[in-house]
Amino acid sequence: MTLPADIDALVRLFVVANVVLLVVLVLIYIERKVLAHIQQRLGPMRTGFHGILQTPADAIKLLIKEDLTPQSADRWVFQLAPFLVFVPIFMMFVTIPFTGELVVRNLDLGIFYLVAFSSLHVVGLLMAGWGSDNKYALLGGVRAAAQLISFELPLAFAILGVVVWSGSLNLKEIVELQTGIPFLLLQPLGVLIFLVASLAELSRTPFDIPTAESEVIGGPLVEYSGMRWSIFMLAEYASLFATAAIAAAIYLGGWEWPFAPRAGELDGWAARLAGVTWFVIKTLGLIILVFWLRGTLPRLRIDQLMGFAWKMLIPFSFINLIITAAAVVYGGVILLAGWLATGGFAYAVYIRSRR
Amino acid sequence: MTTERALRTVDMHINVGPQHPATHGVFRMVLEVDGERVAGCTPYIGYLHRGFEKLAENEEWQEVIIHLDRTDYISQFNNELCYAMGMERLLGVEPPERAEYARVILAELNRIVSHMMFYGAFGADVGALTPFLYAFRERERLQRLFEAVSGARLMHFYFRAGGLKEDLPEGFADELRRMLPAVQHGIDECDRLLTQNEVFLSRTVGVGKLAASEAIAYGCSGPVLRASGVREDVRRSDPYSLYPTLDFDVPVGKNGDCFDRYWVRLAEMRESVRIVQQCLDRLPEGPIRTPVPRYPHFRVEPGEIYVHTENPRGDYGLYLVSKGGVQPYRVKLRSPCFCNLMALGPMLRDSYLADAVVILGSLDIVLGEVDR
Amino acid sequence: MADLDEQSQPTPSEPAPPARPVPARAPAGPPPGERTPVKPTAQALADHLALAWPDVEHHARFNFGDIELTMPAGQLLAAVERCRNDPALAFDYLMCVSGVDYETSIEVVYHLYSYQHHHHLTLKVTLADCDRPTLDSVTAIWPAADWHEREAAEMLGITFLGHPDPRPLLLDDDVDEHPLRRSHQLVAVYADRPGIVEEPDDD
Repeated sequence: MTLPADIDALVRLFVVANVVLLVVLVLIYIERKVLAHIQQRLGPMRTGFHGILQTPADAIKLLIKEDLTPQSADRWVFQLAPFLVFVPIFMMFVTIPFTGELVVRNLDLGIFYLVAFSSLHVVGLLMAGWGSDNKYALLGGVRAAAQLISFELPLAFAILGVVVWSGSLNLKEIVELQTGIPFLLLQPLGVLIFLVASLAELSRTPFDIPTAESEVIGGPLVEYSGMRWSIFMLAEYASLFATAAIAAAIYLGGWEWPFAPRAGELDGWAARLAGVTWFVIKTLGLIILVFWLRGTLPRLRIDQLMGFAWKMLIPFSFINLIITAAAVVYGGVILLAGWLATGGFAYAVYIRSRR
Repeated sequence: MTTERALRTVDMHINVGPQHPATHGVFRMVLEVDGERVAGCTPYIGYLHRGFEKLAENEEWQEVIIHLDRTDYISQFNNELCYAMGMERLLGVEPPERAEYARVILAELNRIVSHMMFYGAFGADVGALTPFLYAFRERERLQRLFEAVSGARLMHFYFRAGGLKEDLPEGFADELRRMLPAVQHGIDECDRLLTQNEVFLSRTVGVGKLAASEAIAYGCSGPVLRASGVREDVRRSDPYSLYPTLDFDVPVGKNGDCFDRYWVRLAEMRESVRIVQQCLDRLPEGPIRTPVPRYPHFRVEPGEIYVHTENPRGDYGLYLVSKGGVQPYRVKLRSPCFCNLMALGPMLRDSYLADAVVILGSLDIVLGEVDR
Repeated sequence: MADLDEQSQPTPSEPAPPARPVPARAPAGPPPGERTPVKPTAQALADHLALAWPDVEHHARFNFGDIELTMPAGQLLAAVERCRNDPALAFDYLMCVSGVDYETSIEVVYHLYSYQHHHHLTLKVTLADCDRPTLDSVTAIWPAADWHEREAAEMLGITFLGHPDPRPLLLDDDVDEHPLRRSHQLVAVYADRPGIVEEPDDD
């Protein structure tokens, strides 16, 4: 049973869209529970078994709340902004592979596509900041623009290391190259840069500067309520999910590693289930890491953040790229030597900075 | 220079407060910002002004204690101690031993509770959520004890001229003795949670520096002054109650930055535990109240006195004027936060917007006391 | 420890060990200020002032062990300048500025402390003109006086000459009364404000 290509894509898109919505609800619940237990609390407990219905209840509450637009706001800009944040993030899911087959479209330029769309939602945040006619929102919006654009570079360069090593921009091919060794082990520096830069891209602690609660009280979101606010939240958690899924695919071997069923060992559905299970474990692990950081770390200041991006992450992402490129030309041993040298250098810099 | 004119920037005024999560109440400051840099600050206070001093003139002497609880509503026992001492000195009576010990124990426990409040709120200012809840767990332990002592969680109304309202509850000393290691452990845990954190250090070390000379000029006191390196504590420099007989250190900082103000408070909590331990070991049995002339009315002899104590926030002073009446003639409260807040301007020099929040947090203001 | 004990235990005959800043006294007796032993620092201060301030018109007395000077308003600036700059006095910490309305006069009280010498001093200025009390500001000498003076100005209606920023501090801008004057009745504040109904007392 094969559907026509267009219908097939639409069906897949519909399924993925709903899965993302569901995942967001689950992620919010998990975040609340993880944070609560880090902070010696119970978290939601009243709505359903261990508060499992709390997020749906919150979502319903938000949807039926009044949708306020401040009188002095730039009406169109203000009302359009949440969608301009959500749509690019949602578009990323087009090419994120959950398993080899469970993907809307496996684009040959997949990584290029992802990097392009992951940076577009800045526009929406800037619009929200400007359109709200609120100084806190403006500050937050400008902070978001500065932060997201700065961290776009190391993020892209870190991914470029993977692209150079694997010689492909196709996510499926990249995953299939990792059946033996995941790129986590070949690109340790790249993984670190990717994780840090994507934390900043996601505006998560310790880089939650654009929305900093105690400084700019939610930044671009300060004037939003009800549905438009919940669309921002949806976008935030969807992009967290997308980023973790991308990391799981390009560094942790996606649905293949550590072992994939060989042809003939399992039939179709069982093999799919195994793939999905690997994917879920890796993605969820990364997401919980992000939640854990939120429960642990204070927030950086904007100048420290920018300094960190331009003085640390970008030079190191160049080093990452150069070593990987050299290893592609001269053989894999260079990788080992390169990472050891980089690690030693970084440690020396750290020790010096401590004095 | 057309580009320069095209890029001409205008300073933006941001109104922080009176409803802003970082102002710890209803403080308001108008920050003049150039991008993220703070170029100036105009503080506005008075949103919580309840006319304490006028109310005190219209209440009987002992009733004023109720209002004192509501000035610095995080260190109530310390406020009550100051006022009770003032009345006693005017009356020329002295509380019995047991009352003195109970007062010092409660005042020092209150200091821990207050500094825990600071710790949690400061963590939240820097952007860490978890310390707040850890601090409140520690506070809760002692709050329950306070509830057992006075019957109220916050507004105790427990100290009186000449002693205490009533004796400590049965088993208080045993319970506290059992609790102290847990309190100590809680302080250590809070210390480990935040102090060595690299991000926390980068946000606080060198931020909001206040030189010792400036701190003195602006009349700062308490941890804010000591963080700047001035070893000055009313418990030592103008000793009162049992403090001359107790063994404790006065921790001081070096740089006068936000980290030092944080660190001094952590160290003070440990000293408070030491003090409470010593008092518990010596807590005698006996009466808890020296009789004061109460009929037909409780009156205080004419005179005037300036009495001050070392509150968690600094030098808490009361200028009491008595004309021998049923009511005080004048009660002037010298609020430490009020004076510390005057140094906010110099501290905010060359800071970022995000620093302003941290600096204000490091002052640990309680608006009930600033506005009175 | 040792030096502090000495400081707070001026009378060696007092029973040890709990050293008290204020010794026990019977409730009835002469006015309390006279019974409290004078602190050694205060005595030294008094001796110094008697020698060094022959030209400043002032009246000195001991109150609860500390020295208290009363002077006319005109003498204030000269006196505080010496308090701050005389190395033997070196009062660098202005603890408190309080205004007291005695109905026939208004008194402004400065409580001073020196971190260097660890001694206290109380300065009192009596303003006879209750309708328009005027006093020099001491903010140039102690920046700490800033808010204290603003508060005293709005609460008692004292004008501080030379204050850099004489806006109201705690009260609304439209309050033109001075609440800490004795003549100001508490209830009256609310009675003539629209929308606020005075509730009858329970008894």
